[in-house]
Amino acid sequence: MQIELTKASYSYQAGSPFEAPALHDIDLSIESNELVAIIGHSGSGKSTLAQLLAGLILPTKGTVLIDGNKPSKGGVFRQVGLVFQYPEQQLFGETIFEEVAFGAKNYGVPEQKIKHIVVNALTEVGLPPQLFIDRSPFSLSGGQKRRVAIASILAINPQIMILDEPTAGLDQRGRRWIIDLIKRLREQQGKTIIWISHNMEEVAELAKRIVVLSEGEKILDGNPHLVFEAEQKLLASGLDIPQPAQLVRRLRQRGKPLSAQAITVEEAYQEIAAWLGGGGIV
Amino acid sequence: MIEIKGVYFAYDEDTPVLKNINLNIERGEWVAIIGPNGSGKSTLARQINGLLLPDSGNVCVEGLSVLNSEQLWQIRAKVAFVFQNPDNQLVATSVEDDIAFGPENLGLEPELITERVENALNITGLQQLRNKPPHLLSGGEKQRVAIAGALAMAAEYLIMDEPTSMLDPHLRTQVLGAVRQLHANYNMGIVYVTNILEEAFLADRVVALANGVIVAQGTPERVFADTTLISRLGLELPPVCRISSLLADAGYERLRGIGDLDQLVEVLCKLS
Repeated sequence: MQIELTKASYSYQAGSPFEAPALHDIDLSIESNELVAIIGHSGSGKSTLAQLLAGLILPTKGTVLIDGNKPSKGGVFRQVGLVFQYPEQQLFGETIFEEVAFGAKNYGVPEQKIKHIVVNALTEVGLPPQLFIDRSPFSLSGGQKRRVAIASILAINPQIMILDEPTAGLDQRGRRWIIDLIKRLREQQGKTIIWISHNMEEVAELAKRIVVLSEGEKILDGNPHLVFEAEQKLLASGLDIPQPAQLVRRLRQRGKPLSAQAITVEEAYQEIAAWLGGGGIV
Repeated sequence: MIEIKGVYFAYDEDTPVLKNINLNIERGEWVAIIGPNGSGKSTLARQINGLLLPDSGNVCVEGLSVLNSEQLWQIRAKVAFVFQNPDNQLVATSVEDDIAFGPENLGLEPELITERVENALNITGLQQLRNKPPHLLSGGEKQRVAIAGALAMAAEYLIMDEPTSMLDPHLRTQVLGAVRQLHANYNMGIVYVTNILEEAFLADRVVALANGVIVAQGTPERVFADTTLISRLGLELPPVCRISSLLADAGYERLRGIGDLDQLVEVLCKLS
């Protein structure tokens, strides 16, 4: 399932005196089963892009196509599931069952299948259905609420999942859990993952491809090494390069023989250890 | 001084969230409270200005007790609170009105209010935005308005509950800059709740919570050198710290606990 944006632009309140351009001339194509990270400062257009990809809004110019099609008549791309930022703030169901079933019911999934779908979705996010299905979502911890929110998207079985800052505000354990879930969804269920983030370390470690937005334009698109090499461009648009990459760069400026390719903690450690070891110091 | 004395607290009877917490925080001190989600850190922060009251034990600020309802109001004038979600605490229709809201409620003279608002706008770099409605601000700007409000109240302590977790790195730096100003220039005591350990490095002292109990405290360098503790807490050291502890484990012992990028560069260059 391929996503194709051609010269897609979006302005809020287009045509009015308050017109506010948010995205400008975006060309972007994403293949089936890719994991793409989208990064950019606040206001760079990340969330607008996510809504375009989900078909929640239509481009004011250009096109957004999924497998060659525009959004269905109801206005959304049924193949796309969008997990908003801090989704736990939008829970409303009296029970977790009601919460997780809501989207699938709206999409017309027959009643007799719903229970099965909810049970599967909760199992997938690691919340044993027998313990959770009848509880109120408001009795859960922050991390668990977020998993319920993700389960309610999984229940509509989207081929493409867009997650807006899925790990923000979680501790390491919660973060690790979400990251593993997303990896699993891609590797075992073949989903396409679009991951919106401002955590450079996380992005460096996970994504094979990073798209950088600034002021509504796509300024970089490529593998992490290529993207983080463009340090000046990133700094100028209010972003940073990952700390391990900064460390390596600083040492290189001091004439130390390290590879500029090292951008993660593990890579930086390997490079530094090899350099120190090679110097005959133990 | 903030004195937290033998505090127990539970939202429902079966599951205590805080279990016998004892902690003193001096005026002018910067204390980071760290711990995994659900460890009780936000609950502890809310005890300090009486947003939540202890089931047993007591909390005193400059000798005033949160359990005495008269004194509680005096405490609230001394202790300001900045929440995680910036949208939850802005009330007025313009930035300057929002900053003036607290001092107006204290019944101060108009001249004094104006003076305090001006000063707060200057310190937090919000002069240009003074007439803007708060809902049109970015998250980082909103948090700075909340911090400016604390300054205009002439609060002696500032409690912050994960104030940057909803912000991108650039805005995070802005907010931390404003907190530093208040700490350095006004001798404010800062209680900073976070699970981003990079931010905890700015503190004089780190207090680690797990399951409602203080499990470690000390300077950031000392607490973070205990990598077993940190991973047992379900937290992650900042990248620089992880690199220095990997190198320390590989035999470069003197790198252990270094969390500052500049410092690590210097020490590494001397090593080779």
